[in-house]
Amino acid sequence: MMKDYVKIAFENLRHRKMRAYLTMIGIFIGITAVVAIVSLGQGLGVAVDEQMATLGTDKIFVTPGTSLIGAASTAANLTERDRRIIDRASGVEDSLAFGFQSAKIEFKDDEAYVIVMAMTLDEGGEKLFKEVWGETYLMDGRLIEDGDNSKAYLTYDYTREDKVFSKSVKLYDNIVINGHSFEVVGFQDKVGNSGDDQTVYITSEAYERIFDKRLEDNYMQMIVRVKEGADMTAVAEGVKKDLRSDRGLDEGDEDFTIQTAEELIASFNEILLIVNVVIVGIASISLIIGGIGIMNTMYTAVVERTNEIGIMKAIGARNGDILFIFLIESGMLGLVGGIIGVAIGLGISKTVEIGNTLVLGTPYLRAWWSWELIAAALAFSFIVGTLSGLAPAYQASKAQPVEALRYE
Amino acid sequence: MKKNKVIIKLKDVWKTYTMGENKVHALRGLNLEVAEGEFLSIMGPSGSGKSTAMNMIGCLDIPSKGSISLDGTDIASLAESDLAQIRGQRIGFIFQKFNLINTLTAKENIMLPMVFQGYPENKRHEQAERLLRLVDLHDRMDHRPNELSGGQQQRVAIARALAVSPQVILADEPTGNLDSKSGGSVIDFLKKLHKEKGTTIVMVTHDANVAKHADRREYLKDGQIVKKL
Repeated sequence: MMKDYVKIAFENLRHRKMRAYLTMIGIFIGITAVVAIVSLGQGLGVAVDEQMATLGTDKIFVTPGTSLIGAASTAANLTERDRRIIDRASGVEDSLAFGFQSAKIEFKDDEAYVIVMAMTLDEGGEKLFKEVWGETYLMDGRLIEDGDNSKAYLTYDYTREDKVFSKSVKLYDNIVINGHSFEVVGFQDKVGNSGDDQTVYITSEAYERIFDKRLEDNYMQMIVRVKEGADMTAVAEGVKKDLRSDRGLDEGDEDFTIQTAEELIASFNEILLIVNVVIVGIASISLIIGGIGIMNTMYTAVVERTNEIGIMKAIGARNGDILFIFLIESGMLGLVGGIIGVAIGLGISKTVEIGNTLVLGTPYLRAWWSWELIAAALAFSFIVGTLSGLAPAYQASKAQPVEALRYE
Repeated sequence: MKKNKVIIKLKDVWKTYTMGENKVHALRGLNLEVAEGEFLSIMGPSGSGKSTAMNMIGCLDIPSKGSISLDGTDIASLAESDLAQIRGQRIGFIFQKFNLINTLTAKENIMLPMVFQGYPENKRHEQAERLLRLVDLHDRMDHRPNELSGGQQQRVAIARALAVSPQVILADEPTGNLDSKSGGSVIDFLKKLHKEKGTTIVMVTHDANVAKHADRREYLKDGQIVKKL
C-alpha cells in the first residue's frame, strides 16, 4: 500500500515537474549550505586532529609573540636560553626547537625555492624529532642526526618527477642549498600538501652555515614533551612562570604563547562550532522558506485536485488514505530537495578541497562526509517537507466527497 | 420471476440544503427499494433530485432525514470513515465524466480501489488485467486517460467499478459524455454484466432511450418518486 501511495505521489510530482523543482529550490539551497559547511568543518576538525595525533597529546607548544599565527612577525625572540629554562622546568621531559627559511636549491640543471627547516638535534631534540617526524612518515633511508652537517632529509615531492625538479632525486644524490652541497640521506612519505611535501630538513649547524645566522637566537616554535603522568596544564603553567621570571615580565604581559595540544584543539573546535552554528542558523532560514514554499505548493495541489480527492473517496479512500497520499507528496518534495542539496553540498566541499589543494597546498580544507551526515540531512529535509504538508493534507482529507466530486 | 431480497432500501429520505436563508429540499420523502440482481434506471429531468438520490445510495452523502439501508446496514448514522469502507467494498461507481485519475495509467486506475482495500499486489495485477480483457482494453493498459477515447475511458471506469466485485454498480449518466455509438456499447456492456453475472445496477439518466434497457424504470420529480413524468 505504502508503495502505491509513493507511486501516486511521485506521478503527481512528475506531472507538475517544473513546479516541483521550483518548490524544491528553497529546501536544496538550505541543505546544500548545511552539508557543505558541516562537511568542510568536520574535514577541518579531522585534519587538525590528525595533525595533533602525529604530534601527540603529551606536547606543549611554545611560540614567540602572543598568538600561534603571529609567530613569523613577532619582535620577541625565542632562543636557546629559553629552551634551557624550559628543559629545566618541572615535568618537562625534553624539547625540540626549529626554525625555517626559504632558500634556493639546485639539483642537476634545475633550481627551486622551497622552505628549509632546521632542528635542534641534540639528545632530547633528536628523540622528539624521530617521534614526531620519523615513525609516522619515514619512507626511505633515515632521518638526519646530530652532526649530519652536510646531509639533508627530503620530502615526498622530491621523489617524483616534475614536482620540485623535472627529475626525481634518489637516495645519496647531492643537492645544492644556497650554494652548499648536501647529500640526501632519507625521504619523508607523502603528507598530502605541497607545504609539507616540499620541505627540506637540515641540522641547526647547517642552517647557520647556509643562512649565516644562528638558529639558536630565533626559534620559530618549540615542541615540549611532558613527562609521563605529569599534569599538562600544571607543567604549561610552570613553564610560563619560569620564562616570565627569566624575562622579568608580569603575568599577562608575556611576549610568548604556550598552549597544550588539548588547548589548541579545544580553542580550534570552539571557533569551528561558532562558525557551524552561525552558518547552519542562516541555512535554516532557507529551510523555513523552503517549507513555506512546499506548503504553498501543496495548498495549490489540494485545490487543483479537489475532484481527484472526490474520486478517490468515492472509490473507497478513507480520510487517512488521502492525508497520507498528500503527506507523502510533500515529504517527497522535501526529500528530493534534500537529495539534490546533499549532492550539491558534497560537490561544493569536494571542489573547495581540490581547489585548496591545488592553489594553497594546505591539508586543512578537505571534504569530510559520513552516512550519518547524509542520513540526517535527508531525514531533516523529509521532515520539513512532511510538516509543511500537514495542514494542506489535512484540508484535503476533510473534503466532502459529494462537493469534491462536483468541483470543476 | 422469483422475487429477490431487497438490498437497497430508502425510506422517507429527505435531503435539505441551506442556500443562504433559503432551504432547498432536493429530496422530499423518497421511498425506493432495489432488489438484488436488478437493473433499475431512475429517470428525471435536471433538478429532480436524481443525482442527490444517487449520492445517497452510493454512501457519498447522508440524508437529512429518513433511513437508507444497504444490505441491512443503516448508513444514515455512519461516520465518514465507515461510509468510505462501504463505498470501497460494496459499491462501484460509473460517472458521466468518467472520473479517472489522469496521472495514473488505465491499469493503475483499475487497481486503485483495490489498493484502498488492501488487496495484495499480485492479486491487484491479476484482477486488473482480467478486467481490462473483459472491457476489451488489454492492449491499452499502460495508457493514461488522455491517451484514450471517451468510450475507452468509460470502459476503464467500468472496469474500475468492478474491481472489488461490488454488490451494486451505480451509473450516473454513464452515456452522457459519449457519442451514440460509444454510449451504445457502454449500455450493451452493462446489460451483459447484468445478464451474465447478475450484478445489481442502478442507473441514473434523463435519456429515455438509455433508460429503456433497464428491467425497471422509476421516475423522479421534485425529490419524489412519481408514476410518470
